[in-house]
Formats: sequence, structure tokens, C-alpha cells
Amino acid sequence: MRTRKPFRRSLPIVVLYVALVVFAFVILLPLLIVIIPTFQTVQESSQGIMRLPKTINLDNYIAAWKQSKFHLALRNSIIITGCTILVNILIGSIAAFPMAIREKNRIFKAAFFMFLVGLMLPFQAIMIPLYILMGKTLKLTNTFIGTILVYVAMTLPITIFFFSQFIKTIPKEMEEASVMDGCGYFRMFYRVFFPMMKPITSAVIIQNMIFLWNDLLVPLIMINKTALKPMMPRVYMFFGQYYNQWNLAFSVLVISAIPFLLLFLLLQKQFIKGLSSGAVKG
Amino acid sequence: MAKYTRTSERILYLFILPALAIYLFFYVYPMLTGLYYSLTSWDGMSKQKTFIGIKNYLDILKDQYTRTATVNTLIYTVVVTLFSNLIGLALALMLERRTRTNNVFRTVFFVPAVLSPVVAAFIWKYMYSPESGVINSLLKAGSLGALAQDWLGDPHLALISVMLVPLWQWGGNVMIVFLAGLMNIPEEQYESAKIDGASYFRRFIHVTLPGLRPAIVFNIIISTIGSFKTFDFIFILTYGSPGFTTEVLTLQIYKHALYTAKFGYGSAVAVMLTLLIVLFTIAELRVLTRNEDSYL
Amino acid sequence: MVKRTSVPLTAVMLLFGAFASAQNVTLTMLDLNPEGAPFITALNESFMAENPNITIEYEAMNSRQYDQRIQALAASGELPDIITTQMFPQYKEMAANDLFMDLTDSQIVKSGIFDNIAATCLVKNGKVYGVTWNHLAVGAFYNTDMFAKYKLKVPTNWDEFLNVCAVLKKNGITPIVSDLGDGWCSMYILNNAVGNLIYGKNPKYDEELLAGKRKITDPVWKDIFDKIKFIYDKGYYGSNPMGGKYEQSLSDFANGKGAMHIIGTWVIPVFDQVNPSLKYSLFPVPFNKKGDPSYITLEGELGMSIAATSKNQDAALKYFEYFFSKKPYTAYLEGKKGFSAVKGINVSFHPSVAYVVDNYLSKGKTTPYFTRSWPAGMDALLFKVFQEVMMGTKTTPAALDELEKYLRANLK
Repeated sequence: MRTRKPFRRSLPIVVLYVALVVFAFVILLPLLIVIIPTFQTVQESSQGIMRLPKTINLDNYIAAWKQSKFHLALRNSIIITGCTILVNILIGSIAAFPMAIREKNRIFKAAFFMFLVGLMLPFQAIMIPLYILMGKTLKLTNTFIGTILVYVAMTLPITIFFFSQFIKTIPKEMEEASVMDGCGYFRMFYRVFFPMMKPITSAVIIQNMIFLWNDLLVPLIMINKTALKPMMPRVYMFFGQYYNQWNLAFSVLVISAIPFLLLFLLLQKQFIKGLSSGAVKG
Repeated sequence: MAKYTRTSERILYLFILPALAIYLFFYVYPMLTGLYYSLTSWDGMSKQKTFIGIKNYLDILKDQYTRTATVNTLIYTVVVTLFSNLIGLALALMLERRTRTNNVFRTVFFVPAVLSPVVAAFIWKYMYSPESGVINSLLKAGSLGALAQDWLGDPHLALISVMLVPLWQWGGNVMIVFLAGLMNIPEEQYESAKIDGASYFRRFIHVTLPGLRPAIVFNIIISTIGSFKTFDFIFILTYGSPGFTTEVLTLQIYKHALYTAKFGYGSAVAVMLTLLIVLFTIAELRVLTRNEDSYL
Repeated sequence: MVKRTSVPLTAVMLLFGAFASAQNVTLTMLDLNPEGAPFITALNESFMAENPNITIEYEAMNSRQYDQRIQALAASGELPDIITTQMFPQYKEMAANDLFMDLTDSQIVKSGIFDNIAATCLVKNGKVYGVTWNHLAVGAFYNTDMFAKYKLKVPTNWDEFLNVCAVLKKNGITPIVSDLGDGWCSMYILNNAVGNLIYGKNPKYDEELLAGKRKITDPVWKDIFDKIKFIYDKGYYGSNPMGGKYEQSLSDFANGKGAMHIIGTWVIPVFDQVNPSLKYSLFPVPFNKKGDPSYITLEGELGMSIAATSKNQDAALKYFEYFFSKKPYTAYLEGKKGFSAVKGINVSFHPSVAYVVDNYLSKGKTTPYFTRSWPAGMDALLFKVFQEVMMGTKTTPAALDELEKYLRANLK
């Protein structure tokens, strides 16, 4: 634990905390904008009255849950996000391994670069070709497996990046010792390296989850059966053609943010630890 | 040291196979198809796709709207990257100590990152409304009515107002990464600097910053790439308005795909944007990892 | 042996399968208007009740998502059987690319039940590619209480309109609620302008424009822009006109934050929902000089087409015929709050449109959208340069010049 005090105890600290509080208020204000309409009627929410509600009634939340068939949408999001992240961790970590320990190898270097380019691609560039591939050629639209495959392909770059950075920080002695023990590479990977990668795995999970949970574009082209739609597209459906039912839409949003926030609070420690031990280590 | 046989080394190639297969098939192949479209005059719907070579790319050079979009995209990227990193760094330095209060602050600053960019954009669009929006209402209530602006309607302010939204959303993300980076700087380096009589400022320059280099590289690269690809914020907040002042490249690509019947041309713009991102990233890596093992 | 008997067996199975599938048809239908979804769903259900062998798989989504979805489907050649359309250029493009079935010889079109606006909505090269669900009218909605308070009458020429705005402004009321921050909203006031100053005198204007006889750089377009810029600069659109966004503007008008709102009739359900006690009516913005007649813009709001690649075109046509039959169609119009596209069926759906129905629609004093013949992407450019002219960052001649250049470069 850090014990060093970066600032000497003095007036600056008070000023500092005041600044932090003000800043925190600025950050939280927009979030209040989301929460207040959830307790209002459509008329009130369209007028933008930002008054703290006198009574906490959950009518909007209940209506939103029912109308959006939220339990289905939630289930879909969990399945899609969960499977994508699981597949990512499995095949991403193992792919990152040789790219990290054999950096100079031409083939691994090229593969790594190719994965990195994927990070730099705007989705608009591949949206239509992807649809033609998945919808027309492979007929995998409206399936979980199709959506998961697309998401895996899209999130492999950042996953591999995280994993390879982390693996590079593991001392070469680990590898050499395993070889001494007569380990083949596969054994070396899943017996020795993989268990060590717990910290970075949390970072990978959170990083990917933020993207996957909130993504609208992939389900737009991959899923049009309402029963299969994940959560965010479902929320967006409340944003109708001519006006937005803010009170209902924001209610669904709040409900949808809760599981994510809980997960984050739980994994926060691991997340930072994971980042510090890999992605941003020198 | 034991000698590796060539066969046992070969298995490493198998390791990358599943990831590579999925990636090539579901990502690279569409990428290449997109590249092919950029060499055609396809309108996005007709059955025929006429090959026209690099004509689209030449047209880009003549297109004033794409030029404006490129300038806006560059301004947006530079400003958002710079400021989100400054803010994130400042926050990380302030909240470094592991106290309860700091933990709360950290979570507060990170929460916006959890939201969908679409949601963030809608919230801010609501807030920026000149008459009934929260920002102007608060300013007027606090006797600062003179500061109230037409945040998204004033052509001089619109882009700046739009840029505040990613700062709000990503500042926390950047902060978290810097926090992680700060954890990695060994206590001893600070101790020995203190012993040498270095002031806080000097310790910052000679110990903190160099120690944060990997975090800085990571944050800058991720911010840059994310900013270049920005779409949802602009789409929801302004759709490029007023006039072309907030028009960005991703929006142009979108419009050509859907509304101008110039899908091939839009694909060329997409390729150009990708190249821009790649060039920028390589340049940043070169500058920031000068004396280190880097990939390039 | 399996091989010898399998051929006739397969043939029988194929025949049976073909027969069976001719019996049971599923129509896929995509809609860009979620607000109208309940009425369409009801209509679909009664259709399916009468035609048990036809199932309609119906889905509605907001137009942003719809545009992307349809584009993806069009690109892969897999449009749904029934596609909803709007009067925007991209649908004309799709028609021109033969993505839609040619309906010219279909029963429903040949029967001539559609009025003139509807019959010419989605027509390319003389062929009909779609039918219209209902029309919308475009004009200035106004708060009748506010007008009464300041003893204002409905203006019938440009000077009277300016006077109305001046009186309102003098009394501290925002004359026109602004939605100009969303570029596409400039369509509505421009439509009234073109209807009154161009189409009224010259219904054949579009043909002449395409032929090059008329240009966007002609004085009449400058006059239109100048007139609008005049009221913009006078502050009649409020003090922050470019900050006015579409959704907010609807709430603002309904909540009495402005006296007028220049938009189309689809917003009526929104006004009523936000503020059920709002009293309002509609008139076309009178760009005309005193003594000249004025016109209101009447155009197809929503319509539908059949995919050229659809395998169920007969079933789809059956659906079309049912849609426009008296009972279902009347129910639809009442729910949707739209003007009838069918001759002989008229539904008075709201008090606010009584004035324009009596004085314009029933007298045929209507004009369509001026973008009917424009190439794809030109309207998007118009929205941008219009904003630039209003803000003063571009001169009107420069803007019109850009539009004219775009038009000539993209005419097919």
C-alpha cells in the first residue's frame, strides 16, 4: 500500500477537495437528469421540469420493465456478453501467448499488427459487408452464435493487446523453468501462465463489457427478432419516431445500468490491479 | 538450457489459430470487401458494382465537404485526447491515496464511462437546450445569465460543446488507467528523490512522468483511436449542424451509405479515415516510445 | 431399393410441399413509424383473421434504425416483402434501381382509388412503385388562445404574416418556436414557400428544372431564402434559433413557449399527449403577395412498396387491397391522424385541421414537396447550406450556386 503522501498537509489540500467536490457535482448532474424523469409522467418529463420528486413511485420502472419485456432483453444481453467475453478470454489469451513470448518472430509480429489494425477500423466501414456476409451468405442473423462470433472478432484486438502486454511482464525465467520441467508449450500456458493472468482478466472483462453491454450497431444488423434483442437496442426502441418517452426510456436505462454498476464495484479493485500489472506496466 | 525441438515450437502457431480464424473470417474479410467497394461506383443498392479504380479517392481530394469533415475530425481528436488525458492525470494524482473518500470519488468519476455513448449524448442534448436546458437554467438561477449560450446552435461553440461530452464520459476511464500506472512506480524512486532534495514539482517531472510512460502511451493511443471513430455523440447532438461546423468523417461515411446513393464513395472515405488513424497511431507511438522496445 | 423409388417419392413430396407452401404464406413487413404501430398491428390482425393462410410478421422501429436496416437489406438484396416508405429521395433511388415491384398494372393502382398526390408519390419513369398510406399537411400550427389574446387573425399574405410576428414579438412572445437546429426541419417552411411562390403559378416547375430551363440560382429561390432570413434576423424564431431542436420544439410549443410552430400534421398526437388542454389550429405560411392565392403543402407521409425480390407478391397485393378498403382504412386514418389518400374516404381526425381542410384541401389548393425530383443527397446539402445562410456564414447566392452545381452533377 502506498504510504507516501504526495502533498504536504496544508491549505492546498482543502482547496483540492473543494475542487473535487465541485467536479464530482458536474459529473453527477447529468446523471440526475436521467434519474429525475424516471419518477415523472410523460407530460412532466417532456417539459424538462427538474424538480426533485416528492414521492418515489416506481410506476415508470414497472411499466418500462413490462413493456420492454426487460427480463428477456436482460437474458439476451447476459448470454451474448457472457459468451463473447468467455470465448475472448479463452482464445484471446492463448493467442496472445506466442505473440508475447516470441515477439521477434515475423509471423507473430504480423499477426499482432493485423489485430491492432482491427482496433483502428470505424464500424461504418465494415457494417454492410458484415451484414451481407452474416445475413445473406451464412444466414447467421437472428442467432446468438452469429452475434457472438461477430462480437468476438471485434473485441479480440483489444483483448489480445491487454493479454500480450501482461504476459510480456512475466519474467522469462518462468518460461525457462517450465521447459526445464519438461513442459510442452500448451501445458506451460494453461498450467503456469494462465493462472497468473487473473488480474488482467478482470481488466479484459470490464473493458469488453462496457463496449458489449452498450453496443447498438451490431444488434441492429444482426438481430431483428424482438425476443432476441439485447438490452440497449430494447431501450433505444422506446425512442420513437416523433418524440421520446423520456420517463420510460430513462427508467429502463437505470434498470439496465444497475447490474453493470454492481459488477464494476465488485471488480473495481481487481480491474485497477489488473491494469497496473499488465497493460500499463513498463 | 534444454533445447527446443522444432515440433514443440510449432505448436505455438496453433495457439493463434482459433483467434486468427475468427478474426480473419468475420472481420478482415468484411474489411477487404469494404475496400473493394471503395474502388467501385456502387450506390449501395443496385446489383451491379462498376469498378472505377481510384476515382473515388481522387474525388475525395476535390470534395470540400469531406475536407471540412476531416478538419473537424482532426480538431476533435486532438482536443479530446489532450484534455481527457490532462483531466484524467489530474484526477489520478489527486485521488492516488487509498482512502475511503477517494474511492467514492473514483467511482463517481468513472460512472459516466459505464453509460452508452448514445445515452450520454441524449442527456447532454437535453442539457444544452438554450431555453429549457439545465445548463442555462442553472446559470440564470445563479445570476450568471449573461454566460448562457446557445451551446449547440452557435456555430462558434457547437464543436466545443460537443467535445465536452466525451471528456465527461472518458475522463474517468483515463483516470483509472493512470491510477493503475501510478501504482507501478516504486516507492524507492520517490524516496531517493526526496533524499536528493527534489521538490514536489521535480519529483513529478523526473519520477512520476517517466514511470507513467506506458500508461500515457496506452491512454493517448486509445483516446486517439476512439476520438477518430466518434459517431454517436455527433449523430445525436448535432448531426453535423449548425451548417458543417460539427460534421465529422464517420458522419460523412454514414450519410453516403444511406442517403446520397454513393456507397462506393463513402467506403473510400472510410478507408481514408482508417489510414489516418493508422498514421496517427504510428506517429504517436514513435514519439512516445522513443527509447523503448516498441512494435515499430 | 432406395434409389429406384426415391425419385417418384421425391417428386410427390416436392409437389406436396409446393402445394402446401402456396397455402401458407408469411409476409415480412418493416415499418419506420413506431407511433402508428398499434393501428397497423390492429389492421394486420383483422387481415390475418380474414386470411388465415397469410401470416404477417410485422416490426416497427424508429426511422434512424430503419434507414440503416433497410440499407443493409437492400445492399444484400433481401428486402422484406413489404417496405414502408417516406417521401424522401432514397426511396426514389430504390425504385429507380428496381428494388420495388412495379405496381402499375396491379389491381389496386389500376382501380384509380388514389388521389392525385398519392398516385404520383413513388413514380419513376412513368411506373408506379408504391402506394401511400396517408397524407400530411405542412404549415404553421398556432396557439389559438395567444392569437385571440392579441386579436390576431390568420394571415393570408406575406405582409399580414410579418405583422402577426411583429405583434407577438412586441408582446414578449416568441412568434415561431424554432427547430432549425435540426437541419431537416427547414423543409417545412421551405415547402410552404415553394408551394406558394413557385408551384402555385407553375405546376410544371419540376420538369422545367430538370430540363435546365429553370435553375436553383433563379431569383425566386433567392427571394425565398431572403424572406426566411428576414424573419430569422428579426428574431421571430426566438433568440436562439439555431439551438432549437426538433423534439424540444414540440414540447415547447405544446407548453406554450411560442405562438407558432411550422411543421407537419404528424405531430398532432404529440401535442395532445404533452398538453391535452392546448388549443391550436393550422394555416399555411403565406409567402404569397397580397391578392395572390395561397397554397398548403400536402404530401404523402407514409407509404408502402413490395420488394421486387419478394416471393409472396400476390399475398402482399391482397394485403394492399385490404388495407385500403373502407373499414380498415378509416380505422387507420382515425388512429394515425392522417389525411386520406383514397378518393371518397375522408376522415375528419382533428379539430386543428378543420380550417385547412375547408379552405385548401377540399378546394384542391395543395402542392407537394419540392424535393420530389431531386437527386439523392441534394436535400441533405440543402439543409446544411440553409443553416449557413441563416447564420450568416454563407451568402444566399453562394448557397444556391452549390445546390445548382450538385443538382446538375447528380442528375441521372
